[in-house]
Amino acid sequence: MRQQSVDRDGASPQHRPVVESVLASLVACHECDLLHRKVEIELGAVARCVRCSASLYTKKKNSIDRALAVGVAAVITFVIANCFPFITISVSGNSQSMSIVSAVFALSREGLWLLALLSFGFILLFPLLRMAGLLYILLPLRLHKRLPGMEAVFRYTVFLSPWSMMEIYLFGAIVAMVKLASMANIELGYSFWAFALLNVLTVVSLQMIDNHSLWEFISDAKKQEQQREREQEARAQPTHAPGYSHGVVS
Amino acid sequence: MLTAAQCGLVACPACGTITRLTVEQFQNPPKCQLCFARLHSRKPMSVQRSWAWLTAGVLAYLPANIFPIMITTVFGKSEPNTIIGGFFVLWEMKSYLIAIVVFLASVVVPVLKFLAVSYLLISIQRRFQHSRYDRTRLFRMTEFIGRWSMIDVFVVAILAALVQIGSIAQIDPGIGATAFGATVIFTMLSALALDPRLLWDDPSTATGVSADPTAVSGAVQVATADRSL
Ligand SMILES: [Zn+2]
Ligand SMILES: [Zn+2]
Repeated sequence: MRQQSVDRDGASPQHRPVVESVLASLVACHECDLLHRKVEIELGAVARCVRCSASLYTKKKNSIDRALAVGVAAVITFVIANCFPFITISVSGNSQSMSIVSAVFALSREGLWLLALLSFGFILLFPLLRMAGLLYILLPLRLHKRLPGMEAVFRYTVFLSPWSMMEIYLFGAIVAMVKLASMANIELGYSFWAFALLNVLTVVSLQMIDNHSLWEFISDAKKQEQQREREQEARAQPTHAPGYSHGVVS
Repeated sequence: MLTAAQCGLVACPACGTITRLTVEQFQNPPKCQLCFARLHSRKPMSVQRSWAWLTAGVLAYLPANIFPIMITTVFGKSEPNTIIGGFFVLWEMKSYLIAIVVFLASVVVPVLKFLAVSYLLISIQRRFQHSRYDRTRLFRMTEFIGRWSMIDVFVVAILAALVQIGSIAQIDPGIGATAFGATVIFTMLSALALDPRLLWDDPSTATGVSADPTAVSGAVQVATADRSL
């Protein structure tokens, strides 16, 4: 390792763009902290950590248009999934149907309030917030605008992802139906199919765009805005323009 | 092979943006320039928090198995169902595949998760140097599979909502379901608190040795991302 005698905070104003561009070309493995220099990879490939093989970044078509289309479709499907019966059973003339929400109410019926509240989050609130959060990011990116708090919204969207459990609920419904199959007649409602489709759409939307690229888009949008602000300031005070020129560093 | 910490850098836990920190800033990190998340080189108090959540999860697993997760009433006759009882019912119904899935989700996964996270935490505290790659994979598996245990809670919720057929049959959720849900949530939090980077940290190398931008830019070898499908 060659050590150079540059002092710790040696990034003078002239050096700052260099430092920033170097830092922007690096990626640290989120599982073992190993530094990597980003390289171009082909479409559909995954760049993995050389030490622990965690996925660092992927290259997808990154079509914001398509991600947006899938996102809107997911929200519509979510609404449909909550408007119709989920499953209906009938035993000797008596029938009973349930919706997705009624499972939450069934838990609170016996005083399991805390569990009901958490289940409400896991199967309805968190998935909905995730979808809404993604639209809040994608829409302004598509229109080349910025909305307040985009970064924070996306941060919470990613944070919520392990707590969104729609696919687990779907499997739970299948297990419940198997348990009832021998004693009752089971009929699947529109809501069930909408919910199954919603799970498919969630998987598809993950294929459209990845978090790493989205953060890059957000970062670019932010830089462009800062650039515009600087230009406006410079125009307002032409005599006090900063003295360093761009293009000296290579 | 250099880690970000060895170069005096820290990657944002949320957006991955790399920031250069001074030695003092490593102790009290600022917020990310891009997304304003609180930066940290390693998750603060990772091992302690992870042990705490894991202990809570193990403690909640005892009532989850003792108390019924649901109560089935058929023609006025009530019968409590425990977690393991639900598996036997499915097995007797000859739904072997579903029975095995339920058994995996409600018994095997939680117990394996307790063992796996304990082993990982002990390996960090004892500073094991061997099989870091395998331990990272174990961590990844634990993190991925843990949430699937929630399936049992949802089955109870769906059955309780559906089976309300007057005097013929009724299913009510039991207190064991709350305890089991708590087990799943606590062990998920335990895995989230555990910082896998600690599995790789070498106690001999200090943090922020070469906080030097020119070193990162070329003089120091940085591993190139592997191309694989
Ligand atoms: Zn790695
Ligand atoms: Zn950040």
